[in-house]
Amino acid sequence: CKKFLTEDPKNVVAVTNFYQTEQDAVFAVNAIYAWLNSISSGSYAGVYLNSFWVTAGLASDEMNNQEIFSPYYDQTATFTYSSQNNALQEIWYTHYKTITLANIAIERIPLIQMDATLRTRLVNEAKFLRGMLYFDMVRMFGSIPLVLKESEPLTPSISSVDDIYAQIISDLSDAESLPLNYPPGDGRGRATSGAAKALLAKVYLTRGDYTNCAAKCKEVINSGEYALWDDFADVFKLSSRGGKEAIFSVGFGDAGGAIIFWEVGQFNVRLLPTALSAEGVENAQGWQVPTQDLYDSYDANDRRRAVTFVTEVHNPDGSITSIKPYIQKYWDRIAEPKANGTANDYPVIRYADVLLMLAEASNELGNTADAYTYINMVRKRARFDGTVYRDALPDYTNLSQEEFRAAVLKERRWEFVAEGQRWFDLARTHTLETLVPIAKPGVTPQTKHYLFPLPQREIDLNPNLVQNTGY
Amino acid sequence: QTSKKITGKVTTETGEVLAGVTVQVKGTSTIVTTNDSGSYSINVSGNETTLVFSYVGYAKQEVNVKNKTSFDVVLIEEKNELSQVVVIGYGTVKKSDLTGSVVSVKADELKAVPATSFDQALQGRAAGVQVTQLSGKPGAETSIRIRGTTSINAGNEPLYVIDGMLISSDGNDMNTGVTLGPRIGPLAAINPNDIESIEILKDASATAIYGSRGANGVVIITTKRGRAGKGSVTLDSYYGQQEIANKIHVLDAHQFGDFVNEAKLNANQTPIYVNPKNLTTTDWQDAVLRTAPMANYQLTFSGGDDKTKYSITGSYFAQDGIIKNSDFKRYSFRSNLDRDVSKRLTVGTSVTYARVTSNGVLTNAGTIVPGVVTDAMLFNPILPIYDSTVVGGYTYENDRGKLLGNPVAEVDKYNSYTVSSRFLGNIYARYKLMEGLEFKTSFGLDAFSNKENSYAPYYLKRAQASKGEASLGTVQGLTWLNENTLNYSKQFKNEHSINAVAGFTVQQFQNESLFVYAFDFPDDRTGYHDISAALNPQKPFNGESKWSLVSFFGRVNYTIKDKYLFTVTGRSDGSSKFAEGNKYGFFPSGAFAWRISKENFMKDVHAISDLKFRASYGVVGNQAIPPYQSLALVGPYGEGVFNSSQGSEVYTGREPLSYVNKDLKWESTKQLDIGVDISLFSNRITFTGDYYNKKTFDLLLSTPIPSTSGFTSTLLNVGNIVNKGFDLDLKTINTTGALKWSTSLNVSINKNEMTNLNTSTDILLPGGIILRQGLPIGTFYGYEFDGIFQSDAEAASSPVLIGQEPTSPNPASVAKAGDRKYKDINGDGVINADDRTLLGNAQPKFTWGFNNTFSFKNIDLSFFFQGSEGNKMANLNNLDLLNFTGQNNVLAEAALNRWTPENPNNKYPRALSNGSLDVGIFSSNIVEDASYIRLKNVTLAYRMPANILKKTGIQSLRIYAGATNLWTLTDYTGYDPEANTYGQSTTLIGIDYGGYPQTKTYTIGINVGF
Repeated sequence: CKKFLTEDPKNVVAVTNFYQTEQDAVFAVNAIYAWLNSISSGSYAGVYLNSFWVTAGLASDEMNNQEIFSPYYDQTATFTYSSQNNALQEIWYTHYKTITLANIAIERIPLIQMDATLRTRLVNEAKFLRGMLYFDMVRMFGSIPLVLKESEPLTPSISSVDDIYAQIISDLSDAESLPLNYPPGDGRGRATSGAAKALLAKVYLTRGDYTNCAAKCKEVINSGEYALWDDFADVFKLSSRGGKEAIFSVGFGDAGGAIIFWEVGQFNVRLLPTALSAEGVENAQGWQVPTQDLYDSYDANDRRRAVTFVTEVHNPDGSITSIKPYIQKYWDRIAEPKANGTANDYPVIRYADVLLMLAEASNELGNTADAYTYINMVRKRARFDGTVYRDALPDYTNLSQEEFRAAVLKERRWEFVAEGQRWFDLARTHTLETLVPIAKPGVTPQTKHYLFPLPQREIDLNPNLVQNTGY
Repeated sequence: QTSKKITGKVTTETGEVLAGVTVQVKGTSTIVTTNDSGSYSINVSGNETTLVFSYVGYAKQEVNVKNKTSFDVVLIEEKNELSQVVVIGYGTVKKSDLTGSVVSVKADELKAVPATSFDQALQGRAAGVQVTQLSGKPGAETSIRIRGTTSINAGNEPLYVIDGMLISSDGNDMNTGVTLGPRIGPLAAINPNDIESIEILKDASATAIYGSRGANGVVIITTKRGRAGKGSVTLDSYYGQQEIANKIHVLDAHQFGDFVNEAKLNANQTPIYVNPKNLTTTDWQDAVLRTAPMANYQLTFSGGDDKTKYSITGSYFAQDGIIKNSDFKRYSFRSNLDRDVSKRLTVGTSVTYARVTSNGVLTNAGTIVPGVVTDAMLFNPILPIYDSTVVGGYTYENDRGKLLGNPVAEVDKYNSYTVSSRFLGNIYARYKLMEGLEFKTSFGLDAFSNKENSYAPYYLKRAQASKGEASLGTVQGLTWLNENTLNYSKQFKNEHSINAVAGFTVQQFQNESLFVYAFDFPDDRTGYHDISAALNPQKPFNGESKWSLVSFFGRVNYTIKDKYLFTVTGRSDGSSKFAEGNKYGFFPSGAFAWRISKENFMKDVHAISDLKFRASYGVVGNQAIPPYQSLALVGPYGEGVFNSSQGSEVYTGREPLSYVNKDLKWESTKQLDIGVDISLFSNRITFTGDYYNKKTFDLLLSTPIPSTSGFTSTLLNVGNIVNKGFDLDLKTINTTGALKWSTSLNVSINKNEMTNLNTSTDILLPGGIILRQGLPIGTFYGYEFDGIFQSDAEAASSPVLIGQEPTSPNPASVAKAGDRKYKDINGDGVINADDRTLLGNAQPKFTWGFNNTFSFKNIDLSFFFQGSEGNKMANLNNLDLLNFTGQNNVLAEAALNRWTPENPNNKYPRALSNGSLDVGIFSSNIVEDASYIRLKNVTLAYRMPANILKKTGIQSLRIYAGATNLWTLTDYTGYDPEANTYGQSTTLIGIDYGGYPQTKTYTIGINVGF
């Protein structure tokens, strides 16, 4: 009788009869990665498709919004956003969606009879991804539910920020035992030991644990797996994807048509100016633009300015039209002449970030030798114009600890435009109130802006959530 | 002691002989039955004085033999409502002993309306039962709501029980979706002529015996069985003609030419038609419509002896649709057999097989172009049907802007064919264990198969993108049911009586479907008959579904002194559709009835023949959700790439596709019913009235959930719906004697409200429907039409739609005299989405039926009126038919009275080609009152007198003529105030868009008995 009433559909696979084979385990972990880029329904948004890095750019001195019909982005750019902000809701949903998939993998895969090495690796990949996602969330929203199991209450309670960080550190520490690398064509792009250490370094940096931060950065550097491209322009070439500077990236693109669905990135659509249609560029909307202050803050000979921005359009008749700066760094003009969507990766963390973190931590620890060594590695590359090193951006020397802090922050600003870093950097260094008004006169962030409001929809549906102060 | 032989003959009031009448010497076991010619012969001993004559459907009669030896007896047909036997779940009860709310509809009433399916014939016949004919398509299904709509995401159609077999009526399980438009009702496979009676169980006391499937009411269908006596052969046949009940009047070529020219001029554009007067009109509606015949032939053999009874019927029904190339045919047979194997054991079977074939045309909305009805209303009347210069030979499409295919080409060349068959059968054995205790076991099967084919050749506008398309779909399903019941009944000293039933049943449903389709058929000759001829085949898909139910139930009826009646019922259902821990649901109910008329103090109130008060309360359930909802299915969803200099590595993931809600459980409805049955003046007037209050809780509702779950919505048991109302039923016998006149009137009043939806956010659905807490289901939401601007100055100073302001960049779209006004509800000076408001409801305040039957000697005449009051309909056809841009043909009355400076009005706007911005706006202009009063049926019948027939060998002969939908009074401007584009949908009701028009039918028929 009991069996008679048990559902056992043959035409569909249910949770009850999945997670049983090695292939199932791989599928379960792939599902987590698959939510990082874009997905096949709704707004197509995965975690890093747009709302995350657009919000981090707008809620800072980096970007302004020109996208009409998106008033929530106007509000983000001017720090007038509320708990009803669509982008925040999307960030919340996509992160938790992906976290729940990681929870399933972490809980289910250890029970599968399969190759033990692969099993451990897959679980650790899932832990890396869960740690990475909670790190985004705890920084943006503070005390939030720490869901870690497949089966959790529908309305979970919140956890303290310390507890969430403890879990992130635990997950990323486990992920340190991931492989150093994967051969191209066989998993290259999956989470690695280096990615876990680099992210862990950033966690420690955010927590003010400079010793551990420096130690993890050193481990990454000493692994010998990574190096800077000589030319900043090479960082964003399609041929550099998964290359020596990429520690962890999210892939976009359709693999030359192998994926029929829309998996292209939004960097070009959102960032390139409409005026580029004169050069044959399709569907450039110019929705998010750099602040003039950002552009002006560069040294004219900084290689990064020329690579990061486009300021002129070459008309078919050979004439040139000057335009205000737009961000073009993700556009590989040769590989993707029509731009439109892009197959470029989203860099979650790259080697330059590790160098600058180590410089920052060393400065805090009073280890000035290391501090200068690593910040100047990044500055040196910025001097390279593709053929020679220019006479610009001299190596830093003799800065006070305070001046060095400001220098690192500037270097990060120039290095990581539109990489989803700026709000986090300003929040970490507690400089939102001082730096944003310089770039955006009249825009005055307040203390409450060091956290974003929890989305109203979630507050309405879960009485256990507590709204952040000031919202 | 002497004994004598008494002989005689038994006849009916009309002189027909009655065979098989039981004649018993009172107080003895001496029993005989009348023979074929109605004669009997019985031995009576000296001290016995009384004979009892009884026959089903006739009043029992006792005669004192005195010293006579011959008695001819005339049996009177049972007209006393209260002594009728009523079928209830797993048993029968005398109507006078009913404690629950049950309506009974007899075969005679159903016969009046020629119908392809018995649900159509139920319309207006029973209080509390709202039947909506969804379209005029041959074989089309109806929507039935018993005491309101109780659910949003689970089903709302009642449970059907046919000769003990619980039938799935969910059309979704039986169709593949290939032949689009309203589906052929699953119940159309049952021949309405085979039905003896239909009982509708309404309150919780009556339906709780069906537990988790009782919340929407239960319809029990009993088919005709044989009677002991001479075998009879009857032939029933009718022939009818159908025509469209109401045509939509649109402009002719000359008028349309003028109209388009004026629309162009008003937008400062050049007129198109040089001399409209000389244009020739194509009446597109006439071109696709026809007068269509329908015919039914049925042969019945029935009879039996005291041990065996049989009834065998075969029938053929054919109906052409009023739209060309649409039809419906049904071949069916039924065989009902009962046999007393021994004094204790009876076995029997009921078997039906039906095969239905149907050719269809596409109606309602469609992809690329709408269905043929919309095409025919809107197509440019100036264009000819045929155009020899075009491939295919038909004018290809509307040339005025609105995307429309040539309706005649669609009707002629689009092929849509459905063939389905259904086998319905059960066998039973009944064993008398001891006096009063009986065991019954039965096994039933309901097997159906359905095959749907369609083909659109490349030269139809519809197939423009696919270059010709064919689809084939098939679905096969099987339900089996095993029921075991124990029945006990006992009378104690005339004071108490008890009647109890306990049972155990097991049921399983499964189906399998396969669907294939293909595009690009360069060769038109083979159509769907050779799908491999396609150059561009598409991915095929298939599906399976399965559910199981295990149930235990019981009911006790306890009666004290025939005055106080108690019923307690309970059913426990276990369903596969829910997760472990929630599989079982228990559904109890209790009822009490008090026959006040049996009290001593009522003895002297002679006017009251019977008076009964009833009250019941109980909980019943609903489980009509698709299977596998409590399982989280895993599927491919996301995919992505790992990019590197060596190229891109594609990966795919698999993940749960829905939230696992292990807590999913039954939707439940608590129902209170208070009723009264009154019978006055020797049953000349009988009245039944019920008040009910149904509260549905644990509503299975698609609900937003916190994103921390990984999902944004899931099916949860939240929400409440309340239905309350009155069912009123009055029957009177107005005259007896030579002219007999009787009347019946029933009224159903229901008020529906979604009292809790677990969200304060409005949910907007297609067709202008809004779901909002506190409102009834089927509420319309949109702008409020406020007349026509009479001057440019008024338009310039009033709130207008965005784009109509004086500053608008397009001068043609600036609001001017003759444009539509809308109410600025929030008073902010602009007309936008914030100015939408509630525009009425699709649910009627009440529905009713009113029947009059006259009989004079051998002539019978009946008039049956039926109607609905207070319901609104969204006439979406008028979004186009009142669109005065000249893109398509329009309503003649509106267009000929359009606003012009010389001939202003406050109802219809000016013609305006480009710049008309209020096209497609859902406003009160579209929502119409769809109340109606309809003369549903008139029948005049003549019964040949028995004495004339005597010599012919014919037992009985009745000929009749009738008309259906003869006359309708309504303000609704569409084809018919009864329609629904969305079929049996729960939430999308009262929406009319291009449905198959309803018909008016004239019939003549004959019933012959041999």
